[in-house]
Amino acid sequence: MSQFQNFIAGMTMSISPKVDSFPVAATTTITKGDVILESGGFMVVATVALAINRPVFVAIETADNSAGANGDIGVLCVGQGQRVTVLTKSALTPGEGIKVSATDGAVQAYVDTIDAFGIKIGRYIGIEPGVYSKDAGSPYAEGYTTDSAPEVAASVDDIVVVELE
Amino acid sequence: MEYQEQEIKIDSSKLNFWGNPEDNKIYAGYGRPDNGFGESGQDFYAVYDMNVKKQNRELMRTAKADEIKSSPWMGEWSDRYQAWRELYNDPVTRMAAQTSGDHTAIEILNVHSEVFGRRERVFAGKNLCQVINIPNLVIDIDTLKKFGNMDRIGELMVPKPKIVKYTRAHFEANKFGLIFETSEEDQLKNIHNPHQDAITIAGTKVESRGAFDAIEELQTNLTTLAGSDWEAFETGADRSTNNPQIDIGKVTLNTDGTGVAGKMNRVGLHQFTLARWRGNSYNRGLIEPTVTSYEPGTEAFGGGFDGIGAAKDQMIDQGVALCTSTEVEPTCAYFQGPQRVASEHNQITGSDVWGIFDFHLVAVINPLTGRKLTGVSTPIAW
Repeated sequence: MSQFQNFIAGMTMSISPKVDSFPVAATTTITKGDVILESGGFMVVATVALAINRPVFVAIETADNSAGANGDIGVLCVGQGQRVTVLTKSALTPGEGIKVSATDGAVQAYVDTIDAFGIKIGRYIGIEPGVYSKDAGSPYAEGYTTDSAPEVAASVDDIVVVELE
Repeated sequence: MEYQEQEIKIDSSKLNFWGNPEDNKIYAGYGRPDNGFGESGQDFYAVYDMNVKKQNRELMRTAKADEIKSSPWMGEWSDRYQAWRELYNDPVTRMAAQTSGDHTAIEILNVHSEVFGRRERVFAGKNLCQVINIPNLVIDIDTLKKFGNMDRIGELMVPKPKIVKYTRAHFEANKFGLIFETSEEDQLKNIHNPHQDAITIAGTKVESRGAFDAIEELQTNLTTLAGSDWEAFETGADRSTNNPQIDIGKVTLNTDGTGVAGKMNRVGLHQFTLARWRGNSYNRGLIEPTVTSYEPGTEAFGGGFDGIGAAKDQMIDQGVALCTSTEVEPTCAYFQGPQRVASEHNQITGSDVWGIFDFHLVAVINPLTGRKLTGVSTPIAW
């Protein structure tokens, strides 16, 4: 990651976002930026198996309930209609759908022709704009990774802005 | 008889404020300064020093707010400012914010009052353009195409009539923005003022964005000219095989060419590219020993050329020299549109929102008077 990158997973991209707090399941640790969902009445980190026909949220703070019972603590998160940063485990094209990744808590591309409709959780918007970078090869000059408009594709392990749906 | 002391108060609602162009200070007083501000009998006193204000603004603009030592306010007005400033700088006052302990892993005994990491480097890209301020977002530039030379004519002949022709180019500024929100807790938990720090940093981004855009535009749209002599070095020597000034000569002959008449006065290049130019012993042998600096910014181009400035910026690709005219028939314009800042306090969440917005456009408006010299040095990793 470039020293100039500021985006970390779990940042809300709206001014005055709509933040909720939901109870966390027992013996569960949710990390800031994880995609989470409700299972058995409590929040857990989203997995491929669980993320079918369920609304998802993204945690905007870390909640450590590893030694607690169901609902001992809450986790701050944002949900449907909100823009938030998450980790992607696949390349993404602006506007492309996203689903929960095999890497728990992260996302990857949703492929219309293959994936079931119920596992789509949102849409990829873009990556952090205006980040300085330096050419690794000739001519060894500084520049920006992206100019922001239009949005550009994301690579594996980028922190990306998504809109949850 | 009961005596009641009468307190004399200044009635500030009747004060008149006058600017004195002699010392650039603002004076307060009653009536008009008929005989100057310093004359006896005149009831005027200095309250505000515009010179100090200008210095302080420059320090803030360059993210050096901690170097502000003096207040532009004078007299009793200064006392009020100093009281606030001392409160702000007082380490004890600042440490009081630490007593919560909720946000610290360990007990902090002392924190240096200056925050590191807010500063930004000098960005030189804009120096390659002529800055044209536009009050709104659109500007049209007319260019005249002149006719050729005079005819030699015979007796009773008249020359063929010629005309000048105008073309108009239309430009619209682009919009740039930067916005952030600082939550109430973020401000209350921190020993520093994250909102103010973010504002300071945001202020430096307008300059860096403009510099980047200027360089991008010039690197993309300047006419290319191969510079073959600059970096053709003798084997094992720091002396080029040919006279490197020829490369600059090629640019000059084109930009100050027949029917063009620009004056190439700026060369934009990477610091390493300039160092290769300066360190070329062919140049040094012709002129005199010269030194160079690797700091970004501006300095004389050197190498025997008077009146040419170098704009050094590491955003410029190595191996090229962006040669422009910034005064006579300018090559590239930096259209500076309106700038504004906006802030908002959310009464419910306690968050503060702040944004800075800038309209500008960099465009090559006269490609005849500029050239991009290529191949003038071998890029070096850094």
